[in-house]
Amino acid sequence: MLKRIQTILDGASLDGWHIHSSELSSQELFFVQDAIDMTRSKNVHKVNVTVYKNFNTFKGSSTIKLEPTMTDEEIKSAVDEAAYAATFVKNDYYTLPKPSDKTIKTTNIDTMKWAPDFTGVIQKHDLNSSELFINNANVHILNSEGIDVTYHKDDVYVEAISSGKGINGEVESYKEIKCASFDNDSFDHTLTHVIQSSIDKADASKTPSLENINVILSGVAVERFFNYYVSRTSVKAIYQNISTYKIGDKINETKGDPVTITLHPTMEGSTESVPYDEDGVLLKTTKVIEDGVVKSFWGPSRFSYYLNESPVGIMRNIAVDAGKSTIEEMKKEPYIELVEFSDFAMDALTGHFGGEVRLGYYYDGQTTTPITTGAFTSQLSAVENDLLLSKEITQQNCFVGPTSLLLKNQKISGE
Amino acid sequence: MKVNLSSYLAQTKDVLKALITELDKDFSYVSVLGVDTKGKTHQVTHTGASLNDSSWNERGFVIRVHNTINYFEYSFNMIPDDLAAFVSTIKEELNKGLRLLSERKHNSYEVLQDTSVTDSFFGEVKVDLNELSSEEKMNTLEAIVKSNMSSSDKLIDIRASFEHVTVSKVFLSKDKDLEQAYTWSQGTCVAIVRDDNDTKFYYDATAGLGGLEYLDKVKSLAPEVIEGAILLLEAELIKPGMYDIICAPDVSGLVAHEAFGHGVEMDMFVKNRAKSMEYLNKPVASKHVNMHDGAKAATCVSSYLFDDEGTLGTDTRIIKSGILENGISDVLSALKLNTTPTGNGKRESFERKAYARMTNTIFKSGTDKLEDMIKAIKSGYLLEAALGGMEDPKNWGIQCEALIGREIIDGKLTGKIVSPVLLTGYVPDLLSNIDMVSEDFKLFGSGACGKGHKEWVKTADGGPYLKTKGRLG
Repeated sequence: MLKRIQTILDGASLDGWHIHSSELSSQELFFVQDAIDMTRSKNVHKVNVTVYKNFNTFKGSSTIKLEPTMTDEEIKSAVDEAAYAATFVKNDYYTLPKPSDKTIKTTNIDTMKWAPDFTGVIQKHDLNSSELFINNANVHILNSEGIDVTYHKDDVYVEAISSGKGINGEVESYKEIKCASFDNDSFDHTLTHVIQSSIDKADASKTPSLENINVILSGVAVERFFNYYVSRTSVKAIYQNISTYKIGDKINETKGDPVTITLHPTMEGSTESVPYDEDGVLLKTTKVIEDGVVKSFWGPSRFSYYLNESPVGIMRNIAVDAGKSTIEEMKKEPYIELVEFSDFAMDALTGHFGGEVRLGYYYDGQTTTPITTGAFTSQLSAVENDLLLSKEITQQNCFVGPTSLLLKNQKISGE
Repeated sequence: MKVNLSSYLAQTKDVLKALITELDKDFSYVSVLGVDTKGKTHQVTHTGASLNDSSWNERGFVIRVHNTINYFEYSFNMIPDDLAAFVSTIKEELNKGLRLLSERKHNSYEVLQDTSVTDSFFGEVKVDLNELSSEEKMNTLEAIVKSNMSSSDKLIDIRASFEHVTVSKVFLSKDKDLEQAYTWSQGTCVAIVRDDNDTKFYYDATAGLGGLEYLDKVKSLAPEVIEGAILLLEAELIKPGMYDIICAPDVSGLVAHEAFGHGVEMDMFVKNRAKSMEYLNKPVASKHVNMHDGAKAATCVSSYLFDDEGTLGTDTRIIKSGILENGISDVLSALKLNTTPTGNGKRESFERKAYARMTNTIFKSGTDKLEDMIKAIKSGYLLEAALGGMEDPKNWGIQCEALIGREIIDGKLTGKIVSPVLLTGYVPDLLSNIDMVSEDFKLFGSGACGKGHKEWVKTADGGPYLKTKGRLG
């Protein structure tokens, strides 16, 4: 199909084109408790084509989805319509990325053989329900400048729900697990933790209302917290004036731990490991913030061109350096550790963050009690100068960084 | 103007019927959903523009068969000429799952007994999308951005967008032959402002079944969103606590959707994940509360003839005068629970499983007036501009976020704004405390709904102003 598309694109009146093709297959199992309730599989070919037209000082573009069931006439008509549409898209001129001298080879493994392995671990645990998706993709990226790269990508997604019974009745915990390989011990440990979390919630007390309390964030909230800084170093956010970061800016002048963030094309076990980004740009490890100082930007090649930066590309594997305090040291004074929210949100625009508390632990100086309900909200500008990052490091799929963060003198809205 | 069924689907129906006939020889239930959804998204911002295919675009099929134990589905978007070879491929895929099923603990499902039905629905578009060219649509959006950017030196961006999507679907089985095609459109406007280092945004949107009329509506959104964003620069953080609150219709819709709607999705009943199971025919809200969901409960972006499992859409009364009456279901949950399916089996795309999902979820209007509701509050907030929320069907926890809380003191709006506002608490407490319901009604269809953190589908929600008590943070 790609040959057909390329021939049509070459024959059209265009100033450039880009093809992103993915051949996707999956095996999916849906469990109610430990019983398989449904099985699914798919074989799908997706092709996105972007066409470019130069006019005045602009470079217009339009992206279309082409279907494998389209005839040549349908593809030609869609391309012509997109070429026409591109002439009304007034984006400042930019160049398309060019091929790199280096080629990266990826390994194609039979991920479908993992289905019985994952199923075995799932059925061993007393879960309420779960879903298992084993996906693989063959990606092919081409553009009119000569980029012609391919790579293979595997990922596994598990949604695990656990119910625990206690003084609060029957209470559930929810966990999304993403990984790129089967690791029996790691998967087993994660499911055990989900079950323990629901048991703790079932026996948790109501979150008290507190002021001037140290808040320790752990779990998914840590990754989302740092996503603010990552999004602020994107060339797109800077070009659009959403971010005011400049190279050399000190972003957290701090009595606590300065932030250091590195983006990686690949990370062991991560589902976001790719050698090239969506534009076909060869990716390389890039430190965006070092010791609280902005070092470099990342993002789509178009916006790098606007900022006169070399294209770095889009990377989704994030590594944050550890801090100086151990979690034990963080827990010397009274604290609330928040480990599970209904949906921890970090607004990349305003820096507001927080959510409804599903599970936490309150230490009043003498005893530690599991807590649930209530809400924690705060603003980045109010916490970043005394932010403490734990010495301990944890990996959650495409994020490796401090296991916990300490935010000083916070308010908790409890009951 | 009537919306037509995709010509591709119309042409492919015979091949799909032949495929069903072949598979019917070996399996006691076979159905195929065919989808061909096409649309465009236009956006203009202060720094750029885009005109792309809509992210909802898709063309493909999902076949469902009873595999002698339970149900197997296969999603594909290519139909080889050699149908016999293709049938072998599908059987091969099915057998992979079947082998695992036979070796492992599994659930069994009965064979679905379809009633014979042939029907079709072709929606109407008030203003034909072709009345304006792509250039004219982009120029309209550009004019909105350009004419408003100079209205405040605090503005750093205005984002105006218009999206139109035409959904075409066929559902075929031995007993069913269903066709539908309809167009929904939506326009949004976002203003981003900055004062020193404080950055705020405000948005508004318009959406529904129809065409170009929604582009026209975007024009009127811009002044209001700019005013809202500038107002937010003066907003303070709320002092956390319990307050008397009034939910504006968009926040009422969010509460209906997140706080209660997810909790009555009956695939959650099958998994014992819904607290509402214990409350059927019992009070869950005050007597002022009436709530519905269904493709036929209202006319908006999720109003269709049949769902993604070939069940005809309905209007389900969920809460009547505070009593929980019914849940909403997909066909397999209904089969398991021995209930009648409500036409709520929806898929993110042909590539995904069908789940019990909301369609148009609404609180019914009452008889109160907004000004009387404000007068009835000594100290509280009017919540506006719903941002999003998260469900908790098992434990009935609430997380709903609104962009604006307008302070009410001694029955009057003081002009003071707090932002953002997180509404949390226990669903029955929130619903039981509803003591006034306004005569207004507004429906919002610009958002999308996930189940957990995935499976995004188009839904609408709304209602009147509701006065209740809630914990704000």
